[in-house]
Amino acid sequence: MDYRTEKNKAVLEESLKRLPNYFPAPSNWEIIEQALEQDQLIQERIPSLPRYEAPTIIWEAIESTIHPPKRLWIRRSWKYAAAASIVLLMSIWGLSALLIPRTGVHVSYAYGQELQSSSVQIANWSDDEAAFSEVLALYEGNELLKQSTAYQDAITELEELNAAREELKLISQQYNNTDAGMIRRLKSIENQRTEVVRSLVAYASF
Amino acid sequence: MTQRTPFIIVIFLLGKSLFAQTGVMQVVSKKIESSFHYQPGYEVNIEGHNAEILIETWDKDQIVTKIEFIAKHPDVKTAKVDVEKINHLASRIKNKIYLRNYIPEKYDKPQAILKVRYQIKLPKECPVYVKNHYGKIELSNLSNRLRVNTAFTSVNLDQISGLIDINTRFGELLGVDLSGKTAIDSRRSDINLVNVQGELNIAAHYGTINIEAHPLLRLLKLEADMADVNIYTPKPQLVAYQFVATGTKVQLPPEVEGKIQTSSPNHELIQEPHQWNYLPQGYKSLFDISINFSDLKIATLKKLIRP
Repeated sequence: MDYRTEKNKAVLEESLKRLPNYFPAPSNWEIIEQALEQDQLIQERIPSLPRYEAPTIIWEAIESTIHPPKRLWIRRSWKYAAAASIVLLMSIWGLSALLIPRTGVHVSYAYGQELQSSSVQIANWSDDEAAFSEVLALYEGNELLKQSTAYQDAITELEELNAAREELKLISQQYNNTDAGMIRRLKSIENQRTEVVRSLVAYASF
Repeated sequence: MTQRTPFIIVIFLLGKSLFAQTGVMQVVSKKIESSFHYQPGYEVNIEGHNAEILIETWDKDQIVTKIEFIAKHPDVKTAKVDVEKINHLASRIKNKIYLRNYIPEKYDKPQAILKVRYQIKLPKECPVYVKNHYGKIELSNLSNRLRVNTAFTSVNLDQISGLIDINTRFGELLGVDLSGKTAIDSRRSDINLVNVQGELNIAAHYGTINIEAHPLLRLLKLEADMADVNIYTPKPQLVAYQFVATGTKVQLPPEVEGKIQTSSPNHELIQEPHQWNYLPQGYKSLFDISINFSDLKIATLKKLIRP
């Protein structure tokens, strides 16, 4: 029945107003929100999932079941209309890509060439380690010297520098990084180690 | 085709292969671009390895991250295989956006030279935590909370305000126009701060520390061991000083030198622990300095020396 032709319009309106209102429990919103968040997380994680290539035999089997469809004659005007609608859809998609902020992941690759820069060989990492051991050997058997604050401080410092050197060595080897920055940092640590070892020599012969 | 043609082709192929072996590097780069909608309470959390990290701000409610892995090797196949050995994470979990790069131990050691670059654009009020192990970090125009934790890394900060917390080992820090509350914990790093204002708290072991203070640097708290410290301030006579020094050479500007009662004459090594204060009337800045086995120079800042 059309609402406009209702005879008892006022009564109907009054009855509608009296109908009770129902509100969803607040916990429902939380559940919906959690589900949405999970959906988004799944979408974000999808690109990082491993991809597996199907074995060739499957593609061959699929191919054997496909029969090329017979060519249909389409009226020329329809072709133009289809082409126009594709152009329209593409432009709407393009505009929306520009105007609506998007979230997601995009991975791309680029290939190029460059001239090899003159490679620098980092001198053998352990060339001078014998000299360090030699200096520490000066203290062997001399407990009095070894208990001194000067010796203890120097050893703590040397340990810190050795650990730093190992960290740097690891990252240089992992990433095959022998750039100037890496060599300068190594130089700085080696100079500081040298200073500590010199102070140990001076203290031992004091 | 003449009789000489095959010979020329052989020479050409030989030359090309030689060239490929000695002079040309094949460069493969993989770029992962991600974008996230920003809302207050979010934080960008980065852990880089051997990475160059560039963080800039913009006026959009979007966080856009580009992580680029570059592999260089004379053989393109090796470069292609090795670029995939760098794993990454770019994902939002609750209110944190995590960005990571790492090489899992299960892989054979990469043969190619590998580089990693992060380029991040975010709103300036977005808090940032950035950790990096060897490389470079450039950050500008952030205004909320910044935490930096680095080793063997050059850190450049430009126009950062709010709460700034920096931990640096074996690195360099350049900070230009920092304001707010800045805390720096440094080991064997060189620190240069230009036009710093607000509150500055530095604990430093070894390294060189240069501070060019803005007149609104209200508090400088410095604890330095075995470091060379230079502080330049526009009006050193209007600053209050509290010094504790051991085994240190202190050099003060002429405006202050005569006013401080010190048992040790200026420019000479203070052997034993020594403490002295200078509190001019109505001072607006306080330099609270505790320094051991270091060189300390305080001088008048004539003109900012911007890098």
